[in-house]
Amino acid sequence: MSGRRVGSALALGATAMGAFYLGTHVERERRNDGFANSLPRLPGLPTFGTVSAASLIPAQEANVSLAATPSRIGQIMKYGFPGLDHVRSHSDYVLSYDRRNRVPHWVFEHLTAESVAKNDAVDRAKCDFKQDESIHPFFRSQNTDYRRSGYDRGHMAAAGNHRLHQKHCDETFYLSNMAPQVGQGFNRDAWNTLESHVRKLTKTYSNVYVCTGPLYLPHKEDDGKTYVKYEVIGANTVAVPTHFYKVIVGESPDQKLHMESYVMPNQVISNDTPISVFQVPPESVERSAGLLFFDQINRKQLATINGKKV
Amino acid sequence: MSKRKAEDAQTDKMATAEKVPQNDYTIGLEDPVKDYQKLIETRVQVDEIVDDDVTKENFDRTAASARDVIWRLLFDEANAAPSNVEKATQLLEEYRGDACFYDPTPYNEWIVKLRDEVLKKELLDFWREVLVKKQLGPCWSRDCDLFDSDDTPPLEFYAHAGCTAPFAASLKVRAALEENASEDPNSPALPTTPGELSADDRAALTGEFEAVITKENPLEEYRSLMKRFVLTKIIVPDSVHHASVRKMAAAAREIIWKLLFDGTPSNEDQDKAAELLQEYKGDAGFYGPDEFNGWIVELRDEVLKRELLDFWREKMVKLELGPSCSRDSDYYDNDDPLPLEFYEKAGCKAPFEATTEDD
Repeated sequence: MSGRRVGSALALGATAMGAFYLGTHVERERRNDGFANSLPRLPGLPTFGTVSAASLIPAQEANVSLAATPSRIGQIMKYGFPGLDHVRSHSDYVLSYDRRNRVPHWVFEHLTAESVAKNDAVDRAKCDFKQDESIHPFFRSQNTDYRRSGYDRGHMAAAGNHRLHQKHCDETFYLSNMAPQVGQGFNRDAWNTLESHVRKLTKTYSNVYVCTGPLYLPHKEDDGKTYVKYEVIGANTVAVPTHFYKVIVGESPDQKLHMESYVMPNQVISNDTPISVFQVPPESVERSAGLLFFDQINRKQLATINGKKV
Repeated sequence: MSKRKAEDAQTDKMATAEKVPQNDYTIGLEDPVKDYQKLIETRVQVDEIVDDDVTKENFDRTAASARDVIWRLLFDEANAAPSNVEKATQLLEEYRGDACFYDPTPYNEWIVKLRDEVLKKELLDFWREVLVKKQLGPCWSRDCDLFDSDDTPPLEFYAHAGCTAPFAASLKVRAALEENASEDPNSPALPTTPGELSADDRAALTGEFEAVITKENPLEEYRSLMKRFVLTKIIVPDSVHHASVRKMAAAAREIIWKLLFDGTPSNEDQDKAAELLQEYKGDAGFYGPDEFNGWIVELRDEVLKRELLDFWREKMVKLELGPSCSRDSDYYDNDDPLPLEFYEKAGCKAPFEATTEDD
């Protein structure tokens, strides 16, 4: 399959080049542009020369990067991009933003035992939910959209996954990393349990890669037809997803790869429900999301999927 | 209006109806909740895009003002009155709700001081009926999205003057559940591997199936064959799929021909033929009507030659079983001519009008 990898690398390279030149062009245009507040620019796609599943990157780096360095982004995105729409790179996670729904398409994280360990130098209470000024004002969600909406500002990239540095934690509080989640019984409970479970996997695997995002799943109504229906909140009509997924790959010390995949409904889930109930085949998440997760890995090469031998 | 009490001189009454100076975050003692809400509405909950630092600053100043007024309403001797305790209670509830969303930390620190003062002054009714019962202690994961179940619940805050947190019991239950659910990592997994292809799916995938339709029950048989070998959920290469559809169509045409022209058809056979013809025409309109449109002319000519005039009038004309067109197929649009002349035989006319050119 190396031909395919070269092909996709070329395609991505072309995209990145195109994005760069478009960017410089837009930058020049903006000077005589009517928009009062210019958007701070975040690095979008990393240079793809650094993103390769072929090279094993050591799990521990001596220095913690505070910028979205190509090497860190390459590390996080080692197993491929689920999609390339509006990619934003932060210092410790990568996000693809869905401008129509004002929530992410997906976020990608790379966790190690070190990066999820309790760290006295990082205080979650110091973090504030803040609008992401790198998103165009038309497509930005704001605190006012969420206030009294009945929904939490639910992290896709969890704050507890980024404890190497305060800045890493701060950056998970951008509202571009949020989606409306049911609070009690979901965001602060069952979903939180799943997040903890993913963190605990770093005890088993030297590296844990996880992709998280929203789903808008159809349901059948009384007329026998199938509809996708979801609420939108606030003046910015932020979409309330019907479900959320996490697709996870753990690299065990013997270089074997293990996959887990979950879909949870965005509703109150009783505390005694084991999260294994929400395991689903990764293909079904891919179909619903319109994305491919870890497509640099041949599924047949996985040691286990959802705990079962492949 | 003259003031009736000297003490009132110090209580700043805010004229809520008037425009408030930009830097004034005063909350009056008259209707503190209303003043507070107005500040939130005009300076914090703003729908325009405002710098978050500005919003935060505005909330912090509103919050400081609210804390100040609550303190005065509760502890200023001059203000001692049941109505003031009521005001303080309402403002505290309102402010806490916003603190949970905007900035819980200052609230969580200050409410401890307020509790201590309440206990020191032995305002035990307020402690029991308001702070404890209404759960106005520190914000936590029960009411605030800045916390989750990994954070320590504020049980200790409530454990004073013989009280306990109203949520203590539910936390015990949850802890017990977590004990029991010491998760088996190799949990009983659900079947995830897609099963073997069924025989029908395999046939659909290869296109190797017999399309047999009998005179007995042609419509049902046609439908079931379509369902089994054409309308599958699996992905079938287009060439195979088209071939399967053509095979089905040929079988349908053949049995219709037999029903009508093997001797003189009974009424029942004519009904069966018309039913299947209608179904087949519908499918042809979707999968590609060319073949149908050629063949239906042959069928018509044979029907007229054999003088099956009932079938012609009652079925083919009335049920509009002529060539596929924009009335029943997305292969056509309004620019395509309607097949009017097909029906103009044996004194009949098409059951529809020609489209006019006016729009």
